[in-house]
This record gives sequence, C-alpha cells and structure tokens, in this order.
Amino acid sequence: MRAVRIGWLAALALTWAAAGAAPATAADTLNAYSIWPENWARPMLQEFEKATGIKVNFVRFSSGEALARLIAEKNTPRVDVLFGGPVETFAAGVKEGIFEPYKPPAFAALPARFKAADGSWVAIADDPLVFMTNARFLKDNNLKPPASWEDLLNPAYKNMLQMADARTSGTAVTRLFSILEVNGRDEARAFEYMKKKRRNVQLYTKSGGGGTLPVGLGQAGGGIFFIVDALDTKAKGYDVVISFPKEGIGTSAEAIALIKGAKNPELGRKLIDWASSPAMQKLYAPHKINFVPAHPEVAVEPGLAEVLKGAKIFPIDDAYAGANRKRIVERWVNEVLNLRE
Amino acid sequence: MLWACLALFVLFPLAALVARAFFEGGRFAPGALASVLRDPNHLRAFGNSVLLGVLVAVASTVLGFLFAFTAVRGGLPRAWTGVLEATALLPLISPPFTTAIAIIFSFGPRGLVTWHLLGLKGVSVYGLASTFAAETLTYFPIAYLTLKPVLAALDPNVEDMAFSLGSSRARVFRTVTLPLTVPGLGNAFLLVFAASLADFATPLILGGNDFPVLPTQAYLQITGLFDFKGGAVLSFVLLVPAFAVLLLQRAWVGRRYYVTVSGKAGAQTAAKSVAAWARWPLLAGCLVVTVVIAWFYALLAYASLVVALGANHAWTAVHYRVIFSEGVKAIRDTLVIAGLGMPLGGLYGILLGYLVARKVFLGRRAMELVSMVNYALPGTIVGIAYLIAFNDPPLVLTGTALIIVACYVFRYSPTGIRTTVALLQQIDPGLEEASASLGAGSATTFRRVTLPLIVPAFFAGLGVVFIRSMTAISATIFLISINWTLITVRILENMTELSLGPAAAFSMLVVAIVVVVMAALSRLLRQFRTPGRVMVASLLGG
Amino acid sequence: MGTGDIEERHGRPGALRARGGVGGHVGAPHSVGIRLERLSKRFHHRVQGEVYAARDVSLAVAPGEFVTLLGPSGCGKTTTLRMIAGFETPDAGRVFIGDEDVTALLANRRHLGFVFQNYALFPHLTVFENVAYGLRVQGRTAAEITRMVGDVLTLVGLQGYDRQFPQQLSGGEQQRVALARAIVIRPRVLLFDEPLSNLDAQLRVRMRAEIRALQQALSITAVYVTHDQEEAMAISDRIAVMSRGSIVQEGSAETLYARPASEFVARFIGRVNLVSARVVAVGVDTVEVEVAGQRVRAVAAAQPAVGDKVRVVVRPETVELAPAGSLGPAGTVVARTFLGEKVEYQVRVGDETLQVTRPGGAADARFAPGGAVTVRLPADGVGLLRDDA
Repeated sequence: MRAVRIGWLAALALTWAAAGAAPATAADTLNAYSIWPENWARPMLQEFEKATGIKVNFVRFSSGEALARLIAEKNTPRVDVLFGGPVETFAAGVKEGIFEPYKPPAFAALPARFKAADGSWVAIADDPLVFMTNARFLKDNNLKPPASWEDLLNPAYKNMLQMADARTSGTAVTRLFSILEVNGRDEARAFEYMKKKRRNVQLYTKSGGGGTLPVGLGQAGGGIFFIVDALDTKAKGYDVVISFPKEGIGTSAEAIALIKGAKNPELGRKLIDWASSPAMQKLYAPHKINFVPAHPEVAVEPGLAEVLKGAKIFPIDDAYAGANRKRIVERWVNEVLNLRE
Repeated sequence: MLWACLALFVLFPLAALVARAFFEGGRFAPGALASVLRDPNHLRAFGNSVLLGVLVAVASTVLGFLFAFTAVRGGLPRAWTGVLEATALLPLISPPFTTAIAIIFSFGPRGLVTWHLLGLKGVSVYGLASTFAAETLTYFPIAYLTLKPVLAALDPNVEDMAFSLGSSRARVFRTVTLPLTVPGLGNAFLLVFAASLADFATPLILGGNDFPVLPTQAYLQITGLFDFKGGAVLSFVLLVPAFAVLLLQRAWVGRRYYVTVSGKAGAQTAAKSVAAWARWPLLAGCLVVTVVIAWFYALLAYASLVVALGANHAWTAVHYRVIFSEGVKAIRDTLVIAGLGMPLGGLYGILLGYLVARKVFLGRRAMELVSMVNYALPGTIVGIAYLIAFNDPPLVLTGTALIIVACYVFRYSPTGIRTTVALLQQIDPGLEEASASLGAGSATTFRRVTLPLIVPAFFAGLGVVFIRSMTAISATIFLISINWTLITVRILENMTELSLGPAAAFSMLVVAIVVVVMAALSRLLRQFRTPGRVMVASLLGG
Repeated sequence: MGTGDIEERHGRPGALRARGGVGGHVGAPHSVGIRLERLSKRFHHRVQGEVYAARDVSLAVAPGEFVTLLGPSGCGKTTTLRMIAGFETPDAGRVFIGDEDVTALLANRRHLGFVFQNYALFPHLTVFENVAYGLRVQGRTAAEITRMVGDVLTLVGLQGYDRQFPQQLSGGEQQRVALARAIVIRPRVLLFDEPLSNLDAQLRVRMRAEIRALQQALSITAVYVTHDQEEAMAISDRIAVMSRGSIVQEGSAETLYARPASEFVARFIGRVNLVSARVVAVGVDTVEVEVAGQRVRAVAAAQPAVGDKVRVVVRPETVELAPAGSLGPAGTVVARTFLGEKVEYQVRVGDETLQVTRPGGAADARFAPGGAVTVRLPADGVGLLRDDA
C-alpha cells in the first residue's frame, strides 16, 4: 500500500517535471550549446549576463556531440545559439541547414576567413595548432623540441605521441589539412607522411585536448594540439614545451552561430553581437583564456604574442577544406587509423 | 496500460531506429546495412566486440565464481566475507571510467606501477588487454551476484553424500559442485557478455587505436561523423548478438536451475568441500582482486584531493568546492531524476512481474520479452533510439526530465521484474486464492495480500534504478539537455577537459550518495521482512 | 505424493523384498560393530552461546544390529549420526567402526552408507549415475558397474528407472534411489537420518518395513535417527533415547516401554499415567508400592527405601475397570471415547486422572461418563520412577 502511495506521488512529481521542463523559455534567458569547456564558457557567459542582464543557460558538448544533437533537434530546436567550437563544425552545420544567418555589427571589420559570407557563422577567436612535448621526455631522450614535421617521425617518439581522432575532433581535421598544406596539397605525399607518423602514435584521442594531460604527465611524449589547450596545460603546472614546425602549421577559427528556428532569436543575436565584438574578446586575457582574438581591434596578450613570435602560421583554406573534408577524413580512417603493419 | 507504456518506450523507439537505418525517404533501402557489412573496419569492430565480450565474460565468470565460492564455501570468518562482499559491490556502484582512469594512471606509459615501480619504458596501455582488464574488474560483480545465491542454495547434503560415497574433495567439486553450478555459470556468462557488449565508456578510454568496438564506433559515427544513419545501422548490427544473448539466456538457462529439495537442509553442516589449507589460497586470490580495486579507489580519492595528479600533489579541497558550486545543478538534476525514477521503476517492476507471474492473458510471454529488450540492448542504441523517436511530434520529450526517467525506468527495471517473479514463485498462490475466497476482489487481493509479500522486490527494483540513475552514462549521454544534466555526463566532460580532480571528486560523491541511499533502503527493507529471501538479482550490469 | 500414485507407477508394493541371490552382490562383506566413546560436540548458538549438541555420548552397536537414536528435535541425535558418518568432527571422544578408530578420518575414507532425510540425490545425474557414483569413485569397470547398479535397482524395485532424473520421481522412488546408492558400495555400516519423514503416513509404514527387511537380508549394521517413537519401535533391535545431547536410556522397545528409567522416556514412548505412590516393602528385584490404596509390585532400577514417595508408570491398557463397589480404588468416569477397536476412558481416582484404554469388545468397555467405577491396577509389572527422576 505504501508502495502505491509512493507511486502516486512519483507520478505527480513526474507530471510536474514534464510540464515544467522548459523553465528556460523565460523571456530573459538564452539557451546555448557550448563547445568550449565549462571553464572558458562559464566566465564569458557570466560576463555577458553582467553586461546585458541576459542569463545564459548552457550545456557543454564536444563539437561532434553538439552538432549531432543540433541535427537531431532540427525540427524542434532546444537552443538558440551554438557557442564556440572549430569552424569546420560550423561548416558542417551549414550543410545541414541548422543555422540562421546573422551579420553582427562587427561583421564588416572581420577578415574574410573569420566569417561565413552569408553570416551563417562568425569567428570569435583564432586558435593555431602547436607541437607540445613533455620537457622531461625530451631531456631523457636527449631531444630538442620538435621544430619540423619530420622531427615527429624520429623513432624516439615511437608509441609516445597522442593526438586527436579525425572522426571526432576539429583539432585533428585542422591537423590533417595542415599536413596537406605543407605538402603542397599532394595527398599521396601527405598520407605517406601520416602513415609513417602513425607508428609513433600511442593513441588518437576522441577530443582535441584529450592528449594534453597525458603529455603533461609524461604518459605520452608529445602531440599536436590547439595552442589554447597547450597553454592551459602549461598553466596547470605541467612541464611542457611548445614549439612550431618550420614548414608552418594551420590555425582554425572558433565561431558562434544562431540556430534556425531559435525560440529566442533576439537574445541570441545580442550574444553574437557581444561575442564577435571586442567587448568579449578583450576579456580573454584577464580570464587567462589563450585564444587569439578574432577581432582585429583586440590586441594579442603579450605572453601569448611572445609564444607566437616567429611561428609560421597559415589559415586553412575554407573552401578547399569544406570541399574535401569528408573524403580526407574517410581516407585517414581507412589508411592511417586502421593501418596494420 | 502497461502495454501502452511498453509500446511507447520500448517498441516505438526501436522501430524509429530501424526506420532510420533502413528507410530512405520512405523507401526501403538496405544498402546502408550492406555497406556497413562490407566495411572491413566495421567488421573488425564487430569481431572485437564479440571477442572482448567472450573474454570478459569468461574471466568475470571465473572471478565471480572464485569470490562466490570463497564467500559461501570458504568457511571464512564473517569479517573476511564482508571484505569480499564490499569488494564485489564497489565496482557496481561506481560511475563509469573509474577503472579505466585508474588503469591508465597505474599501468600507462608513466603509470605508478609500470613507470615508477617497474621503470618500464614505452609501455602501451591502450588496447585489448587493458580494456579486458578494466571491464572484467567492472563486471565480475555481476557474475558474483549471480553465482552466490546459486552456490548458497546448493544442498550441502548432496556434497556430503558424495563424500560419504568415497569421493575426494577435488572429485566432489568436479562431479557435484561444479555441474550443479553450470546453469548459474551460464547465466553469469551471458549477463556479463551482454554488459560488455553494451559497454561504451571503457573502450572509449582504453580501446586505443587498434581496438575499435561497435558501441564506440556507433557513438563516433554519430558524434564524430555526424552520420545518424551510419550510427543507426551500426547499432542495428549490435542488436544481433544482444538479442541472441537474450534469447539464449531465456531458452537455455531459464529452466535449468536445480531447485533444492525442501526438508531439513543441511544448514547446520560446516563446509567440508574446502580443505582448511585450501581456504587460504582461495582467499588470497580474492584479496589480490580486492587490493587492486581498493588501490583504484584510493587513487581516485587521492586524485580528488590533490591539485593535479601526477604534477602537483599538494592537498586541496578545491575540486570539491568546484563540484558543489558549478556542479550543483548536475547534482540536483541527477538526484531529482533518480528520485523520480526510483519509485516508478520499483512500481513498474512489481506490476509487470506480478502480471507475468500470476495472470494468464494473451501475449504474456511477449510482454515479458519486450520488457527485457531495453535492458538487453546496449545503452548507446537505446539512447540513440530515444533521441530519434522523441525529438519530433507526435511526442516531443527531448529536453525533459521525463525522457531520462523513462529511459532509466524501462532500461533498469528488469531487476525488479525478475525479483518479483522469483518471489511470487516462492509464494503459494493458495494465499491469494484464500483472499479471493474471502470475497476480496482482484485489486484488493493484490493490494492486501500480494503486494506486502513482494515488497522486497519493490525495493530491489527501486535500488537498481537508483544506482543506475546515479552511475549510467551510455544511454543518457544522448538524452541530457539544457534543462537536465547528469553527474556522469559531467564526469565524462571533466575528463575530456583534463579536469581529473573534479571528475574524481564527482565520482567519490556518487559512490557516497549511492552507499548512503542503499544503506537506507536496506534498513527499510529489513522492516518488511518476508519469509522468502530475496535474491537481489544480477541485472545490475549494462 | 500419495501411496496410490506410487503403486500405480511401479505396481509393486513391498518391492524391497531382498532375495538372497541378489543380496549376495550388494551385502556387506562382513558385519562390523560401531562404538562411540564419550562423543561431544559443541556449537555456537546465537542466543544461548556455547551449547552442547552432543555430550559424552557413548554407545555400542553390535555387528548386524539395528539401533535407533530416538528423541525430539534438537536432542543431538542427528549430530551424533553425522559424527559417525564423518560429516561433523567431534570436539571430544572417539568413533570406532569395527576395531578401527575413525575419529580423524574424513567421511570419504569411512566407507559407510548414508541416507539423508531429503535423499540428497544428485539432481544433475540420472538414477543410474546416482547409484553408480560411489562405484565410479571406487574405480570399478564399466561392466561391473552396469551389473551392480542393475542388481541393486532390481533389489529396491526400480528396474527400468535408469534414465530418469531425480526430479521425475515420486518421494518414495527417490527414497529407494537413495537407499540403492547407499548400499551398492557395500558399506560397512548403514546410517539413516530421518529417511521417511518426507513421506506420507502409509508409505512411511511400508518403507520402514522394507528398510528393516533389507537390513536383515544384508545383515548389515545400521544406525537410524528418528523422532517418531512408533517408527523406532517398529524398525529397531534396540533404541537409544536422547535428550539434550545425551543418551538417557537404551534398550529394546519392550524394555523402554515397560520400564522407562525417567519421566522423559516414559512420556516420549507411548501414552502413560504417572501416578504418585509410596513404597511399602522392598524385595530383592522388586518393591511393593501403594497406589490409591492398592498394593502393586513394581520393578525399580535403584533400590528405594520403605516410605519413599515415588511415582509409578501405569500404561493405559494395563488398567482394568470393574463395576463400582468391587474390590479396589473407586473412581469416576470423566470421559469415554469409542474408537472401534478400543475405548478410551478418563477416570478420576482421588486427585489423579488416569488414562485407561480397553479393547472395544471387552466387558469393561461400556461404562458411561459420570458413573462410578472401580479401578484395577496391574498387580505387578509397573515401572517405578523416583520422584526426582
């Protein structure tokens, strides 16, 4: 009997839960999926609330998960904005038709590579790739920090590199296109290189930064990461070395976009206005978020500028990457990831 | 009513999944399946899944038997049995990844054991061996829980009899004890196999490059390649072994339990099946496992209390401060969802169990089978199916707590169902008939007579739903939303954000909450003592 | 499972008729005795702490003898039996089988046959394999096993049951399998732990006769445990009555019935009147006591003194009734129950109420309740208990 009563209570509570499932639809609350991790997204969005009084309700997903979810929810969107995340994710989203184009005031000031021509997305930061190695590993193996892509083929790194899996990580896709670029887009040569490097790879991680902690701890000797993750690792106290290849390395923009069919489009636009302007981007430095600001009026933080000094960094060609992404990733899966010797 | 629920939360999502996998714009298009079957990488993943499942199931069954045999027949002092019990239960109530992380930190290239202790270089921790070890340590408790009641129910007189016919201990074990346990062993094997087949968290962390398995592939297909269709097809392929196991278990194990004969059981008999000297090696074997598990949890506790494990070992409470500030929403949501799911799951379990065990109606077997489907399926499949099914009208549930609660209730209630059926089989229908003969209606009889008798099953079902609500991730990772998030998802997120400290702190919190709630539940249960002892069944896995 | 069922199923009541020719294969090579010397076994009780399940139990069983340990549940009879079998290790004392001290031997070295209350058949083995188990352990050849199992199954009336599984058999049939399994290995001794208590009343009566017949045909030493005094009396050469871990009296059924040594034994075996009396004369083997004014002779174990207050054991069927006014103590009929073959009375004599049983057709079977009668106690042969016994 008691069980029956508990059951009734639960049923009541459940009705309440189902009914009240959308408390976030209140007029001054914005919903967002963030691809940026909590520790970067939360302070930024709190600053936004402070500046505008608009509360942002967000949940964090990896880029793949966020995109998959947005596609699944296409007919009944749950959120208004996709916040942060590498530009390829946004390019893929454009193909799925999940974004509502919007050109914020800063649109005109942004260089071409920091915006979709129709305003489907705009960049809020730039994030170059770097080589990150464990200082102790280098010392133990008598190595210099890698200064060329070729250095990563050194047998001393055998089974000691970690980097991201191209199926799940924007970091990895940027890496693949970097390698294509430095090989003059010669796919045969580029893949030859990747297959050789494969022998030294201990693990392809699911997320872009998945390898940073192992490298910091010495579980892995080194890897290729976005600078923001690499500097974060360093800031946490791990003894790692950041270096750049002399052949050059790619960089990827971090973007923001309005969701088609958003319930609070006006609030969403306000967030995009704020995020694409210096208002937010000048806050990266005080919050120790090591993104390179996308807006040309925001100066790069001196410490970050110091790291980047002399590095040869090139943007990934959007059109080329967009056209070839799927094919290249599939080829990578078949020829590199599943390589068996 | 129950049929409606089952149709809505079991059959409909499954149908939606199949439709997504095989229908292209309203037309049947089996091409996707064919292309999956032709892809050698997917075939390899399929093979790996089955191989891993078999290995884990064999090892877990052996380990579970060792624990159960030592606990039941070892003739050990109470305290030792308690230690074994605790060891076996800890992995069951732990959040995902716990073992996987601990293994990397212990046995990785810079692991505390491999590097610091043994000074090995260039060790690779990723792959079959470590995935196998982590899953075995995680799932052997399922085998233990399955085998312990089987061993405990063996009539010791039967073994005594074999002794008195001149058999040696080894021979008694080989010719009597072991054969009588075979159905239990089979059951344990199948349950663990299903759990391993469905596991997605462990291979995601430990599988590495060379050991892809299907659940992770399906997950990556969707989240990485944004390929819903491919993910649905891969999930569908995974359905085959999952269903095979379900049917095999029902057909083969279901009716082969050897019921112990009634009468004066030899409860008074001391265990003679284990020689005094043999007790200690058995115990030692168990203790090795115990030490490993204790080590893993100690490591986790340590990680939650230092700034950054491996780099900065200064003590700090900052991770706990983080989870009790930023994480407070996840904690609250999880508790609300678990709190809602608990009574619903318990109630659903006993209702369905009662119908299946006591009432004769058309489609009874079908109902029982359908009720097991969501349990038998890997969580990723269930999650994807729910996501596909409930995102669009007619029934939009994504983003609500209801979808998560429904997922837990329909996925983890089979324990309650099985326990109810088992209890009802012990209770003489005459009791209910007596009530009916006194003029009580069917509903009254159920409420006044049957329900009090199956209260233990209610609590068993409720406990499992609660535990899983606190610890499961595979299905719900697809179902969380802006409004409702879960601790386990925060753990995964923290891990990908390299915030091992908060992840560890969250894990410790989960363990603490589950222990407290389970202790409270078992106290409550003690007040409802019924004659039949409940076999809190072995369906905790998955 | 009803008896009718059993008969229908194998159509041979009394199937355990042991025939010499078959018995020759399964009989014990030679009979040996059993000797228990001051066996003690303690166990830990949740409430009472350390409790003796058996305390200083000594017993000698002659070769070929059938001895029953009789007592209420918890008296230690099963523990004692299990110590003989080697399932329990005594805390003190020794067990001899023949001349061999087997106290330290494990059960599997004692070569005994044991029949459990719940039969303890191997549920995963067929009837044939159940019976063959002990033979396989002995390493006999397949041909030998087939022959011996066939013989013993015939002996217990189960030929043709080889391939059945225990669950498919009735209680009586399972009992026979258990018996066959115990005797096929030609044990030195057969031990029975309440083997009939799971059977219905009629089957129980028939099975006990069959067990007894089989034991005699094989002339094998047997120890049998039961709480049923009728069963004990029907089956045994000798009975040892146990109470609280000790043997309180042993002897033939007749002795225990006629001359119980204690109130416990007197009450446990048969219906009884315990009547206060006073010793009036002491002879060599017997004493004279005065009961309700009547002098009767009694047999006493210990010699009381004249004038001692004692109690005498008066079995209901030894009392006769006569019309009121006859010679002897006067009484009043309180109740009368007609049971066909017999009539049971309750008769009030002084302060005592006596149970009296008379044959249905006897002359003194017709006294009506409320009427006055004269009671005649047997002139001799009552048992005598010290008042403190």
